[in-house]
Order: sequence, then structure tokens, then C-alpha cells
Amino acid sequence: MSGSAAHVTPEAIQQVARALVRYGEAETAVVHTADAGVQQVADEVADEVKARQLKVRHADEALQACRREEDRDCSGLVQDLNKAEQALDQARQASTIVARAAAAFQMKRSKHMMTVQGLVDGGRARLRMNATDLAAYLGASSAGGVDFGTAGMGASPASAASGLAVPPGVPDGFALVPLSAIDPGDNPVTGPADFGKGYTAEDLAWGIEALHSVVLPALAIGKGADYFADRDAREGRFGTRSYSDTHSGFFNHDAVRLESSGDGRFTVGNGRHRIWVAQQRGDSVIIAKVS
Amino acid sequence: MSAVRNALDAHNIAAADRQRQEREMASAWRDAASHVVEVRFLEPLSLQDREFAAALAELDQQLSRAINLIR
Repeated sequence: MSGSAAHVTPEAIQQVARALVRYGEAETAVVHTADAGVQQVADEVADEVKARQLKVRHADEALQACRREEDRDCSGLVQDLNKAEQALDQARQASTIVARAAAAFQMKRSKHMMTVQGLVDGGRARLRMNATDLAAYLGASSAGGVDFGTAGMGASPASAASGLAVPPGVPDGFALVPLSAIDPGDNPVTGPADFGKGYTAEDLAWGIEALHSVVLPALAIGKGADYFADRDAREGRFGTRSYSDTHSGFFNHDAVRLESSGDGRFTVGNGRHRIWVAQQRGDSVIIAKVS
Repeated sequence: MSAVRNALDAHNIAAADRQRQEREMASAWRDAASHVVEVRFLEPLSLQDREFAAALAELDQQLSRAINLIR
């Protein structure tokens, strides 16, 4: 790094913070627009399935009526029924495509909202600290008069002490740590062959996905271990691919543990397998107990 | 234009706006504090942006496929 902080003002830092707030608000609107788009198509497809079911029924009734009459040629009605059934099949295929696309998007949407919320709120808190420090350095009264926005994407507080993003509802000491800030060190985990403790890389990838799509959103609204146990029972989940194991694995004694080096970097105390899997997934952050 | 395509465009605009501010920050503020902000928050956001843009594009493609089946 070169240059000096003397070239920047608290107001300049405030602009970046405002851009983060704007971005957070815009992303909330983006997600709502996408949700509305999915719902619109789902409704249209559902209406089409109903309409085509009705056409099949009418075509079938017409054919049955025809067949009750002696010596009548019903071949045209048979064709009509076949066409109506094919059209219904297509609408049902469309319905399946929409349902699958919506389910896949739902998981990515949850992860996006959670990650963006944490990073926006954390970034804003960090910038506020920087502006305060700079204002003091410049001899200004304080950066207290600088508006850093309060809208954000939710109620997630960030850890002002560490400057890391803290998702709402997680236990004390946990934060979202950028994978790019974690020193690889001499990581013995270099591939799937290095997984031998009762779980596979795929199991951990499942757990990370469940963490983002189910566990963190549930913690954000005040749910706990009982909720995860109940959901596991209802969905027939157990062991490594359960929400209970995911919750306890990430937040109890086996949590990912990172130590701050004091220069914005972190060394790994525990969780090298999960960090490796998160990197392979292309994740940007991992939840960890930070000291 | 579909609602999801609109959402994708809006997402790209929001990300570009944020990145423009980041570039301005980078040109005026190069010290350890700005590095921490970049590494901890801005770079992960850029990664997440790309991932979510891909998710929206995939969603739009699948919904268009479904619509084509019923029209």
C-alpha cells in the first residue's frame, strides 16, 4: 500500500458507506422482483394446467358420447383428445420446470441475502470506525455527524470490534470471515481423499448449503436446536446430512475457529476441511468463531 | 422482458454502482484501513454478485423454457 489517509476525508468514506447501503436496498428490491417473476410464471403455468385439464375432460366426454352412438366416426375426436393430452403433458412439464427452478433459486437467494446483509452491515460498521479515526486524526470534532445510513438489509448488527460481519442470531464470537483473508498455511486438506473422519467432501458441501439456506435464516428469526431437530424428524434427516448436525457442527465445540493475525488476515485453528470445501464451492465467506 | 430479467439487470446496475464507488475509494484512499475494507467486505461482495447474477440468469432461462412449453 502506498499513499496516505490524509488524501481522504470522512465524507469520502461516507460516500462508500452510502453506496453500500444503496446496494443493500437495491438487492432487496432485486430479490423481491425475482420472487414476483417466479410467482407470476408459476401462476400462469398453474392456470394453464387447469385449463388444459378441462380441455382433456371435455374432449374425453365428447369422445365417450360419440362412441355411444352406433356407426359414428369418432376418429376426429380421438385426435382431439390426443392433442389435448399432449398439451396437458407440456403444461405439466412446464410446472415441473418452474418448481425445480424456484427451489434451486430459493437456496441461492437465501445465501445471497444472508451474505450481502452481513457484508453490507459489516462494511458499513467498519467504514464508520475508519471515518471516526480519520476525523479524530484530522482534528475534526468526530464522524458522528456523518450519516452512514441505517437502512441496510435487515437488523443484522456487525461486530464493530472486529469489523467483521455478524449474521443476526449467531452465538457471540462468530462472524462471517472472507475466505480470501484466511491464510492457507500448511493445509493438509488438498482433495477429497483427505476426508476420512466419518464424512465426505460432499457431506460437508451439503452442510454448508444447509447452513446458508436453512440454519442461518432460522437463527436470524430466533429459532434454535429444537427447531432443527423437529425439521430433521419431519424430513427424515439424520447424521451428517441433518440440520441438527450442521447447527452443532458450525456453532458448538467443533466450529470453524480462526485467529486474527492483527493485519486483516486469519490463521486456522479448526475447520480446514470445511474451509477447503467452501473454497471449492466458490463461496466468498465462511462462518467461524474468531479470536 | 421478464421480471427475472429485470431483476438481473437491476442487480447488475446495483453492483456496478457499488463497484464505481469502490474504484473511487481506491483512487483516493490507499492505506491499511482501505485494504481491510476491500479484503473483508468489497471483494467478497463482488464474488457474491457474480454468483447471484449466474443464479438469476439460470432462473430466467428455466422460466423462459417453461413459458415456451405453454405458448
